Amino acid sequence: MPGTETLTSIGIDIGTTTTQVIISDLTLSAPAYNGAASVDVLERRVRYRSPIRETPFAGDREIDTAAVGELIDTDVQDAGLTATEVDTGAVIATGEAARKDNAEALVTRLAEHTGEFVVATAGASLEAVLAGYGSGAGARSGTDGSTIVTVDIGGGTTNIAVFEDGEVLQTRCLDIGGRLVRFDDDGVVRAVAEPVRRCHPPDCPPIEVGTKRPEADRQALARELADRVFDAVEGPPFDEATRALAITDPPENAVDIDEVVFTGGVGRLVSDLDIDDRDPLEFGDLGVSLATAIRAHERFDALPVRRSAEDIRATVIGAGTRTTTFTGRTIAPAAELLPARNLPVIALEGLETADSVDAVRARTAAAIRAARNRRDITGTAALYASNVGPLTYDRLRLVARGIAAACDARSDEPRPVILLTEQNCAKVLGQLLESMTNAGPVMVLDELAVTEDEYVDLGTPVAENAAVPVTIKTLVFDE
Amino acid sequence: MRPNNDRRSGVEDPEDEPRLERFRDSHPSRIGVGRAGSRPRTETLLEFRLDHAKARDAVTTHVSDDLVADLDLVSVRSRAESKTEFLAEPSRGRDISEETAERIREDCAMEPQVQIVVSDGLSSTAVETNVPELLPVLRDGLADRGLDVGTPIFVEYGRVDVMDAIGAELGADCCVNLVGERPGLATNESLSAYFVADPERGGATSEKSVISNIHRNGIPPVEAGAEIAAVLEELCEAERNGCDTGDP
Repeated sequence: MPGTETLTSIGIDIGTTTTQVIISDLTLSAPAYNGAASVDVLERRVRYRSPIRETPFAGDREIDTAAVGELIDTDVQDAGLTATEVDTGAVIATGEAARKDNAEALVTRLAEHTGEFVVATAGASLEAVLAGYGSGAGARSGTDGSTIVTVDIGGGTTNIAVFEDGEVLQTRCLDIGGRLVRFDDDGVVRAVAEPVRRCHPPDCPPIEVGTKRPEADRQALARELADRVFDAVEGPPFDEATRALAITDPPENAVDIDEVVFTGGVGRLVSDLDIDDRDPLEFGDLGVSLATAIRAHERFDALPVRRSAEDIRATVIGAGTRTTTFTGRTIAPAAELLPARNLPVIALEGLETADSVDAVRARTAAAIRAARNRRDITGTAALYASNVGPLTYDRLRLVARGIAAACDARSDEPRPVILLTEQNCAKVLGQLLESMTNAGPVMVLDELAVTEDEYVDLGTPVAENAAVPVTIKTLVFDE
Repeated sequence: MRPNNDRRSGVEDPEDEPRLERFRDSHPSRIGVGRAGSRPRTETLLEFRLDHAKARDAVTTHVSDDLVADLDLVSVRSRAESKTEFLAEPSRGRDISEETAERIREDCAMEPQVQIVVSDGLSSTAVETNVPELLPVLRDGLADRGLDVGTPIFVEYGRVDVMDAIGAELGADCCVNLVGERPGLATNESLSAYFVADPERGGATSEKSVISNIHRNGIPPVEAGAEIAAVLEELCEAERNGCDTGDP
């Protein structure tokens, strides 16, 4: 297509059970002077899928960094690429793997060494969203306006996303997965993950390492976990037993479900019509039992379940194709600031009611101070203004003066001013701030929706320098 | 762009009201206005006729002299002598007379890097609502960049290409023309900014760049002002036009 550009994007998912890689081509629309918020991704084509492999661990507490590195190097090679030919993408540590001691260091290092602009991510809610998009359900919900619930059940966690009209409405995340209990070939318990202690199936004594359990106990635990999954999908209200396994605060609003999609390793087994013929210990864990319990559950047939073309790879496809968006021409970038990685977001709340330069300055300064105290932010952060008030020149001048004053007073050393806005006003705020602050280079990006818990990565410009790759993400390794 | 649909829903007892609202919010068209039998409802019809009348007014009214004075614009007229003539003979809106040319050569700075032109085009309303917000940002943005800006000119009965004649007479490096766009039933306030480098009479329209859809529900005029300043800087540096790749 004329005027378009194609980027090579990688997705790397280091999970509780498996490590997966996909490589895809993202075709971008040509930038235009039409006020469009962004350069759109016109097409996402997955061109390489790695085999599904066990995540290599070194002992109980660490991921085997060298072995993971080798897997990924091999994948890049098998895809006919070198690391420098990868333009963008994301590395995500998921489920139990995200809680290992070296998860953050590993993911950060992989992001920096694989390609131009590959970002490090982690967080159960983000996993849920990526799996939902990766399965195709997110896009389908946007096409037909339906409400789709995606249930990604992996080795360590179950991440549920609710899509409505193509947008993520809610996420619900639980410590439920196939690898909560591991068995050896003889059915002797080899490992029990911590969440099992928060789960109390009726008629089943606590499961201890080194014991051989009757089939009935395994089924009782799987049934209890399946109950929690259904409760999480169908609630609120939620059972106390479900809340005990929740990773993130469950939402308060109920939804009318048009469709449910199961993904992830266990999700794939749920869709497997021949599951009854499988050896329950085929994977040496609870996976087959859990999937069987979900299928056999009395509420399963009442759910509008739809099979997904992408199941076990849903998260990695989401990571590889959905994490990066692209701004349009309406940015005021200071080129020397790019790329910028892992910028924590500091939200400037209530700016629209600040009616003097000093009020804006005070509110901005307070937000920066509070964020630095609460979250131990030391480096550059991105300020986020969801509403600066009416978009008039007088108003924006006032707001820019206040923000500039707060930024100039931040510290002795000059620091860049990076501002994100939801309204379409990046160029004008950039122009104003540029002439008002001595704090350092200025960059403003607009039409973004972020929250204070999120991080932002900004890549070097693409599409004839007109668009900047942006990733809005979480970095939560120890939920 | 976030369309802002102020119209009330005309659908009685919708089956899924939130979803209907989302459809309506997704586009400025008359979606979900309901019906009375096989015809539009009275309210819908009146709104339609009101919007149509506003669109006609945008074409036929004049930009006020006060506004031109407030913005410190040198006011001239194209070769069209009246609105009727302007509408009937579009080519007259593209050029200026020899007397007008002489006058601007006397009253305006010669050989600027950037010449700003404002034209009523087909919507005086667009000029009146957007230019007062846009122009100060544009002027500041050009000043910040150290560009030499000529004396801004308002052209009554002006079309896009009138900037070619003005730019050529003044020897400007590049011009921007802020033109009121043909009004529609969704908005009568839409303004466009057209750009040309090395202006000369008869230059092809296809060589001009444009930022369109400048109005409160499109690109906000303040943001457009800053964007236009950035485009003009690029144009001055590159000394070529938007669709011109520079290849021989």
